Amino acid sequence: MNSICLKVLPATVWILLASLVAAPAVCQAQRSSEPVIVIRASRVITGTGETLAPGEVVIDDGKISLVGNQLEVPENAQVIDARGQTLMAGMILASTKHGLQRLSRNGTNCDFTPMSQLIDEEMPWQDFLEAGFVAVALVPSGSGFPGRTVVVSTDPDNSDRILKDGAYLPVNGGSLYSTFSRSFDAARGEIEKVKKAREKWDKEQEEAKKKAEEEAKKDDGEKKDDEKKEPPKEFKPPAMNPSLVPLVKILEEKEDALPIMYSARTPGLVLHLDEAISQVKELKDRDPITLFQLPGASNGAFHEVVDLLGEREATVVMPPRLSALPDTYVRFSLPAALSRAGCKLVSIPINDDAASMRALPRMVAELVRFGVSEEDAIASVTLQAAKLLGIEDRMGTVEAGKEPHFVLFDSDPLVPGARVMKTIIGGKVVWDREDR
Amino acid sequence: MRTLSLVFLAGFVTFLGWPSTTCAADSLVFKVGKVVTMDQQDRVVNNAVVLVEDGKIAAIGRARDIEIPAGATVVERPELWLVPGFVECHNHTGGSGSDLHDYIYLTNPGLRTLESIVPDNPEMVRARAGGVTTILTIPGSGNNMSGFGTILKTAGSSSVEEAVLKAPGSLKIAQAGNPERYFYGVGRSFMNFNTRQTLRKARDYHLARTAWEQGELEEEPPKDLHWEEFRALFRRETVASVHTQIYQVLMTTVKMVAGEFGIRTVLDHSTFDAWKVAPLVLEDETIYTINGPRQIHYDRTQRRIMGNAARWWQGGVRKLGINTDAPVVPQEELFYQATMACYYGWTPYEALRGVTRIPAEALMLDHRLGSITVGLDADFCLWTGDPIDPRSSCEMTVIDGEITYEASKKRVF
Amino acid sequence: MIQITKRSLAMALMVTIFVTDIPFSSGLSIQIAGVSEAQDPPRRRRRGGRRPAPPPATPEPEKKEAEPAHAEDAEYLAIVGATIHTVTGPVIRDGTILCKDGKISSIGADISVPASAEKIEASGFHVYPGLVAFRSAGLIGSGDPQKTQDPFSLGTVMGLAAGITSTWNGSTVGKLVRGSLEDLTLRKASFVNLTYTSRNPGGKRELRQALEKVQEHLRALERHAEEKKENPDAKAPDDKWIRGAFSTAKLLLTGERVALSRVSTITDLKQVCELARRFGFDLVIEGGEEAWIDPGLVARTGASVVLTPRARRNAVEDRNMKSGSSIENAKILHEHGIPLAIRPSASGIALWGLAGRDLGHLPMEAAFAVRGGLSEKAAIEAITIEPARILGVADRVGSIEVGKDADFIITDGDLLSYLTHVRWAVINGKIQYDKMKEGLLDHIRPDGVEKPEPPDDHWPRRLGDPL
Repeated sequence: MNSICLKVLPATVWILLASLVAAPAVCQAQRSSEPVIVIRASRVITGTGETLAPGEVVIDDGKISLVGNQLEVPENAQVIDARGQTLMAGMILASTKHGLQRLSRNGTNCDFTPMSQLIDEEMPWQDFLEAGFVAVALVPSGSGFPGRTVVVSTDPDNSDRILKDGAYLPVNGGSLYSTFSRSFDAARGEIEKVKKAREKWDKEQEEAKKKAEEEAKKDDGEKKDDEKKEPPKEFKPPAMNPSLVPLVKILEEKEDALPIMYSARTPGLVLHLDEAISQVKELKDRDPITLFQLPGASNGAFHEVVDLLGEREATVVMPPRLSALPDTYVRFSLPAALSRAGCKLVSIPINDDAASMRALPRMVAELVRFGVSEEDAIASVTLQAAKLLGIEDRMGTVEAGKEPHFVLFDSDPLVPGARVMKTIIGGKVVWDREDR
Repeated sequence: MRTLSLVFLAGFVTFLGWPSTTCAADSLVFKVGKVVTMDQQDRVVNNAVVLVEDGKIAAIGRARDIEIPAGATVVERPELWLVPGFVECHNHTGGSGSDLHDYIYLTNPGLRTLESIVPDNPEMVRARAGGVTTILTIPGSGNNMSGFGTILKTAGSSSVEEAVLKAPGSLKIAQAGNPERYFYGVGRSFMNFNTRQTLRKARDYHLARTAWEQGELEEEPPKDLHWEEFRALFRRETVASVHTQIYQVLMTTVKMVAGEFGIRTVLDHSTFDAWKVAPLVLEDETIYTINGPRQIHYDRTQRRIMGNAARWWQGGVRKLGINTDAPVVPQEELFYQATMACYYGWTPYEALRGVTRIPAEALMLDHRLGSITVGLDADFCLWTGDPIDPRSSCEMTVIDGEITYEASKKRVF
Repeated sequence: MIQITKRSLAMALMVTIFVTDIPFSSGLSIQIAGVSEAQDPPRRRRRGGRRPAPPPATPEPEKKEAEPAHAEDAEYLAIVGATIHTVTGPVIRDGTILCKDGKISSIGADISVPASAEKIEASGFHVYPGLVAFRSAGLIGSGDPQKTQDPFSLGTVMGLAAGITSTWNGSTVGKLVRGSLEDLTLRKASFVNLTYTSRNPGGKRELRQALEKVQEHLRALERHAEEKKENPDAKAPDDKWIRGAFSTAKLLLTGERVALSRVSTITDLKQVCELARRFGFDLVIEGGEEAWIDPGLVARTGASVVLTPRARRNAVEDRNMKSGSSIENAKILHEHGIPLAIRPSASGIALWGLAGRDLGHLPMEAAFAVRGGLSEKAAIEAITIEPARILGVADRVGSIEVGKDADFIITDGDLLSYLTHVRWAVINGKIQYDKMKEGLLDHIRPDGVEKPEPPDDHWPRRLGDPL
C-alpha cells in the first residue's frame, strides 16, 4: 500500500494487469518534477469496449498510465475534478480546411502541404477545441492531386504542431481518368529518368574503367599516383520532381507510400475510379483504393454502391447525415448502411465550420438511431479517424500508454444536447467551458 | 337573339320568293363508318348518318333508319369516324399574343378579351385541323384577376359577332403560380386577400343592383362597368376559370371561389399534386376539373410518375376534362394532351369525353356543344380512327353545319 | 482567285461551321463532333439518293444450326413466345430470341433454349430493337460515356422506360447501361457541324472558297500520284497549310466525315444541298421543316434527314412560293427514298410535367409521322435502324438480327400505340429495365389492367422507414 492501492472491480480485471506494468512508472514519476495528474470523471468511455462509471485516468510523464475506477491517488497528485462529466478520447477530425488561408492549386502537386496555408496565430484553434477535437487533418485545396494531408495538434500553445506530416493523398476533381493517367505517367517518367541516368552512369563507369585499364596497360611502369588516387565516384541520381515523389513511392510500393483518399461526389464515380486506376498498369492488380470521402453523401444514389464499398472494406469519411433515395423523399442513413455492409466509418461535420463541428456529436448520435453501435459511432470520431491518419498508436482511445488527449462532456456524448465541458491535450486543460 | 335572327333570315328567304321545298338544299348529310356521339347514353353508332339542317344536327342514327331528304348534299366517307368537335376550355390564341395581359392592377375585373378577338387568325386554321371547334379565350395568369374570357367558334369567321358564342364566357382568376410576377412580387396571403376583396365588392354591387331592380331600393346604385360583368357570374350564368396548380392553391379555390362566393368554378390546369384533394372537389357537384397541359407529376415521395388525369379519375372525379393552355401547347394538340393522359393511365373513351362533352358542360354550353345530339350545333369532325391516337388524322371539320376544313384540299395537321 | 489570308479564312470558317448545341466545343477550333475510328472505314457516298440496300427477303431467322451445342460458361438470355419485330426482316410470331454473351445468337420459332438461360416468358408481348435516339441530353454521360456516365442516373432509367437503348450525346454514340460501365460506348460519330446560310453571306463565300482550295489540292495530289509513276522524284504539292478549317474541309471532301447541318427553310436547304452536290460530301440534314417542298433535291444530294414530324413553322403567306412546315414532310421524303430518322423537338426527358414533346415519347413522335401518311413500318425504322445507320452503328444496333448486340425492348403492345409501355429493356443481353420492378410506372396498367387500383400514397414518408 505504499504506492497506489487498487480496489479492482471484477469488470476491470485487465486494468489490474495494466497497472502492474505501469506501477513502476508511477513510482518514477513521483520522483520527477512533474506531478501525476488524475482526472476523476463520472464516466470514462475508454473506446476499447469499456465504460467505467465512475472512472479515473492517471497521467504520468505525458502518457496515460492507468485507467480504472475508484483508484486511490497519491497526495501530491494534481486532480482534475470532472465528476458529473463523461470522459472520452479526444476527438479527431479526419478532414478539414477550416481556418486555412485560401490557396488552391490544380493538377499534380503532391509535395504541396496545407502548412503553407496555415498561419498559426490566425488559426481558429478555439473552434476545434470547443467541439472537442484534439487533432485535425488539414487538407490542401485544389483539384487533381492537390498535396498531402498534415495532421496537427489543436493545442494553441503547442510549438510542436505537426503530429504527422503526410497522412494521405487526397484526389478529387472532375477529370478522373486524365488525372490518374497523366499523374502516374509523369511519375513513371521520373522513375525512367533515374533509371536512364543510372544506366548512363554505369556505362560511363565501365568505359572509364576500361580506359583506365588500357591506360594502365599502356603506361605500365609509369606510375601516375596523383590521378589514380581519385576516390571512386558515387552515383548521384538526378533530382526527381518533388511534386511526383509521393506517386513514385506508390508505384514502387515503398513502405512510406501514402494511401490515396478518393473524393467521390456521385456514386457512379466509385465505378469510374476502378476503371480509371486500371489505366495505370502498375496499379491494375493491386488492392483497390479503400479510402473514400463522400462529399455528396446526401445524394441517396450512393445506396447503389454500398455493397461495392463494403466488399473492399473501405474506410469512408463522410458527414453522418440522412440521405434521400435518388429523386425521392425517402430517407435513409447512408453511413449506417455502409457500416452494416462492412465499411469503417469516419464522421466529419456537415460543413467545415465551427457550428457544424459543435453539432458533430449530435449527428453521430443519429447513427445509433439507424443501427450503428454506440461503440462504432464514437469510434467514427476517435479511433477510426486515428487509424485512418496512422496515429492510432498515439491517440484514439483511453488506454495506458497513449497520449493523454481527452474530451469531457456534460453527459453521455450521444445524448442530444451533450456539450463539451473540457478539452484536454497532453494532460492539460486547453479549453474549459467554465472559463467562458 | 340568334333564334330571332334565324327567324328573320327565314322570313327574308321566303320574302325573296324561294320555293319552300328548297330547304332540303340546306341539308347536309354525313354517311360515316362510326359516330361516337358522346351523348348522355354514350351511344356509338356504326354505319351511321348525321343529318344537318340550318347548322344544327337534325338527326342521328343508323343509315338504314334515317331518311335522307331529297336534294341534300351527301358526304359519304364510310372509312371515317364522326366525333363531336373538341372544346378547349383554356386558350390564349383567340386574339393576338400581345393582348394576353393588361398588367394594370393585380385584379383587373372590368377587362374582357372580347375586345381583342381576331376571329380569323392563323391559329384558328390549326385548331380546326386538330379537331377543335370551340375555344374559350381567356386572359393570361400574370395577375390574380385578368378579366373575362370569350367563347368562340374556330370557324374563322369574318366578324367577331359571328364568331362569338358567349361573352363573357368566364372570369379568369389566377390563384398563385404566376401572379407572383406582378410588379411587387406578391405572395399567396395577399393574393387571396386581394381576390376575396374584389369578389366581395363585385357581390355587393350585384346585390345592390338586384335589390334596386326588385324595387327594394329606392335610389338606383350607380352603374359601374368594373362590376357589371360579374352579375352573370353571381347569377351562375357563367363560370370562373381558375388557374390552379399545386394542391394547396386548389384547396383555397374550392373553399373561397366555389364555397364562399358560390361561383360555378372550373379548375383549370389542376396539375402537380393537385389530385390529392379529389375528395374536396367531389363535395361540390358543379365543379369541373379541366386538367393540363402538364399531364404528369413526378411524385418524389414514392419515386413514381403520376398521370394527373388518371389520378383525378382514380380519386373519383368524373367531371374531368383536358386543356392545352394554347399556345403553351399548340391548340391543334388538344387531343394529344388526352393521348398523354392515357399513356399515363387514363382510359381512351373517358379521355375523349374529356375534350368534348365535359368541357362543354363546364362552360355551361352542353345545350349547344359537346355531343352529337339532335338540336345541338353541327360542330364535328371526321377522323381516320380513334382521335386520341396521334396516327389518326382529322380529315374534315364542320362548324355550324359548314365544312371549314378539308384535309384533302390542304392538310394542315 | 481571291486572295485571303489563311487566318481570316480560318476565322470565317469557324463562324460558318458552327453549331450551338454541341456540348463539347473547344471554342476556338473548328467543331468536329467526333473522330471516326479505325473500326469504321470512311463511308462511301450514296449516289442518287438510293436507300441503303434492302435486307434479303428471308434473312437470318430460320438459321438452324441443328441443335447448337450450348457453351457451359456462356451467359444466355432467352425471350420466349413473343411477337418479334426484327425491323430489317419479317415479323415472327410466337418466336424466341436467344442471346449469348450479349449478342443475339438465334431468332426463330423453334429454338432450343439452354437450361441455364435466364428466361423471359413474353407471350403476348412484342419485341422491337432498342430505339436509337438521334440526339439526346442527359440520358448518357457527355463526351465519352465510358468515362462520364453516371450509371445510377434517373435520366438513364427514363430513357429505358421510353424504349431507348442507344443514343448520340452530341459526341459519342453510347448505350443506356445501368449500374455498370460495361460496353457503354458504341463509337464516336463523325459529323462536322455545318452552317451555310444566306444570313451570313460572307461566311458562306469563304467556306465555299476553302472547299474549292482543298478540292484543288486533292486534284493536285491525284496528278502527283500519276506523275510519280513516271517520275519518282516528282515533288508532292505543299500541304502544310491544311490545318484547322482546311483540314476539316479536307475530311469532308475525302468522305472521312459527314456534314451535319441544321436547316429549316427551303432556301437554306437548297443552298446546303447544292454545296454538298457541288463538292460531293455526305450530308445529314437536321430539322428540314420545309424539305417537303423540294424532296427531289434532297434525294439527288443523297442526304439523310433527321426531322420532327410535327415541328411548326408558319408559312410566309406574302411570298409567291411554298413555305412552312407540313405534317406530311416525313411521308414525302420517304416516298423520295430519302433516309429518314425521327427525333422529338426536345432532346432530353422532362419530368416537370409537359409530357409528350420529349425523348420520353419517341414512338409518339413517330406516330405523328404516320398521321402525315408515313407507313408504320417506315416510322419504326426511323427510330431504330435509320438513326443507327446515320450514326454509323447499324452494324451493332437498330434491328434484331443474329450477330447484332442483344439490345431490344419488350413492350406490352404495338410500339406506336399510345397505350403501350415498355415492360423490359435489354442491353447487351442483360435486363436493364423492368417496369414492374422499377416502380416509376408500375402502377399504370400493371399486367395490362386498364383500370387498376390507385397506388398507395406513402406520404409523408416516416423518417427512418427502412430502405
